[in-house]
Amino acid sequence: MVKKIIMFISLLNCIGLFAQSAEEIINRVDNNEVYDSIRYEGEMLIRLSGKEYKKSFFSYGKGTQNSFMEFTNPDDEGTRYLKKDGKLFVYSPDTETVMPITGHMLKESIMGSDMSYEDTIDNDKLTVRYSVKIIEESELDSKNVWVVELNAKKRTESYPKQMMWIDKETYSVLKAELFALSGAKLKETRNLNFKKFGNRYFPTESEMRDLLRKDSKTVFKMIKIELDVDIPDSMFSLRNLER
Amino acid sequence: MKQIQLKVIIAIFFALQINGMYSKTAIRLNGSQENDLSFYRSVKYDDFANRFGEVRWGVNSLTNLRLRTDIGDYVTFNLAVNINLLSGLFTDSYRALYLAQTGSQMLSVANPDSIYNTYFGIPFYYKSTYIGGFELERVSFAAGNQFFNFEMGLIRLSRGFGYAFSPNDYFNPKNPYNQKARPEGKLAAQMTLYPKDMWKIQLFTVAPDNPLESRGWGITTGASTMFSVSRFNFEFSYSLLLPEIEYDKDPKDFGLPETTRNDFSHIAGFSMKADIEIGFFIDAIYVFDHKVFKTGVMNGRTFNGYEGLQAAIGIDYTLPGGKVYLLTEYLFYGPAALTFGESLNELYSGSTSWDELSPVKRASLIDTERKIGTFLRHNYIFNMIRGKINDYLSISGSLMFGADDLSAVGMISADIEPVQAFTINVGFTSFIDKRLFGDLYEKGELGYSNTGMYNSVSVSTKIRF
Repeated sequence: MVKKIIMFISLLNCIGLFAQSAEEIINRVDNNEVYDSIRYEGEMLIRLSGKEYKKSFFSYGKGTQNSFMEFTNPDDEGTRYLKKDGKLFVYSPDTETVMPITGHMLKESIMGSDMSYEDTIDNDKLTVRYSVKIIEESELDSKNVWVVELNAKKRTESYPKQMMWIDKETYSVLKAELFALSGAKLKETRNLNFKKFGNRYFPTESEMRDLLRKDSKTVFKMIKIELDVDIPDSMFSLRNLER
Repeated sequence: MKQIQLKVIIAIFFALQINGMYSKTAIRLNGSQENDLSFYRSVKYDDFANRFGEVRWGVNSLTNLRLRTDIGDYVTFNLAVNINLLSGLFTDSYRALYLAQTGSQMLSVANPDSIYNTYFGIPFYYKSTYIGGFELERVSFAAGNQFFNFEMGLIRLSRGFGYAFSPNDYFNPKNPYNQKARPEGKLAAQMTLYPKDMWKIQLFTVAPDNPLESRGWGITTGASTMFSVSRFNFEFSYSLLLPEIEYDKDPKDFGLPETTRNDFSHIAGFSMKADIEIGFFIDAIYVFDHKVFKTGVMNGRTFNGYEGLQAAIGIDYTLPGGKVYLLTEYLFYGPAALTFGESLNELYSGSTSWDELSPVKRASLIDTERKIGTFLRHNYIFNMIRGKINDYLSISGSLMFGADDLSAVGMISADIEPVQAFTINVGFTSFIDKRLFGDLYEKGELGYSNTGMYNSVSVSTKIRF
């Protein structure tokens, strides 16, 4: 009898240990992906109907509201984007002017890729922006995953609904589907590579497909990544944009 | 001897080391190359009654080369040049320059001490099949750190948030017939201070328009500031324009038009861009011209206070999905050579047949009391729609509408990007006014009578590198 009681208690403990809530899972995802600061060099490989366009750049980010990106491939060299306190500005070397990018333009494709301006500026925690629930436990690319549905808390969110396939072992998002308010699937992303920084698995290569574009995908690679490094605030300034 | 050689080698080696130490990055060379083949149906001035006109063609090949090098962390050198090859109708402007230069040379010989009416054209050369032109676009250095920047040389002084109309950008006024024209540089010095991350203050001095002026007349100096507050971006500016000739002297004494500025002027500017779901912008200046305020006369007529104002207001919006962009912009242009109710005949000293002369020939008829600015009249509206059909093709249409005389320039163009950094553009432009419907109607500023063109078709390519 005592053995049975002990076994029952152990079973309850095990259930408590492994059955995590959706919030806890997404919290672990945030711990993997959200950074205090980041510095990296990157590449965007845009594949359109069998043709390939390559963009290279370097980027800095701090918190959720500040980032800086400068393109270095010859045909776009010197084009810079600054996100400052959530607002986006662009500097064009052709016209030598700084122009604010207004809200309605944030949905436009960045440099002809499958990513929009707003895709590049989101770094807020998912747990803050979405309410979440586990849909099922499944398998993706021979990995055990949770399939989680995220519904935006605010109507202003770029993607009111997301579906995520989250690796049970690393809490990495292997795949995500992004939906419009109408329920139409707009984009699909897959994280192809991860790098381990301490306890976190940070995605370093991802593929995004804008489903409204025909035969198109963009592979986004991060090279020479440094996370949570000291970046001066002056990096995110008008001065740096015009430099 | 060997010792001297050794010293020279050591000196060169040392210089290279210093260069290596301070050249943080190598020289960066970027630019673009554009080829434009255009066909214009234009007025046939030697057979004016023939309303079909004649078809003329031209080729323009423009190469823009931009070079930049960072010397250490604080100094930058910039150089940009334009190399232009022209043939056919694109040589018209060079012919006008040649005429101006020839006339100026005669005046210079007759009166070598006069610095006025002396004109040096853009350097160009004539070869079989083309005329070649060379233009310096930028030559400057900049030095500074995160708090300030000082730049000097041939630089771009960029102002205002307006798109088609930007009165604040008075150092490089927009070309109403060519929205893609490259921004010109001015010989100037500019100090920029950055008290906060998104706040800058600029102090600038610009050399006189007349490069031969050496006594200080014609200099423009001023200050501007730009900052962001919440969803609003603001720019305020002030410029002091010194007289173009000696203070209070009669321009006629120097053989110059009456409109030449012989007194001080002030320009106060304000521009704002707001992100309120749609983009909303204002771009305005007020010109306080001492001469005009003293005499009460502007463009040969009584000056009204509103004629000092140039103000543009506009909105732009991208439809959900990000594929269609819309822009509409209105301009009030105060210092118009022609005020409400005046016809273009009055600009040409009352002539009623000025349109039978080519634009170069009719220039001698212009009433010298009137100053021709960017526009001839007061009210203009610019509308544009740009749609992305697919990943390779986008189509845009625009209409520049002169509301005072109901004339317009309409343009439809398609941009095709078959491979990275290479664009093909096909465009159609039409110059429209009421005159198209009969000789009894008024000739319009943007119509064929004034521009000399009915319509045009162009095919151009652009490579960015």
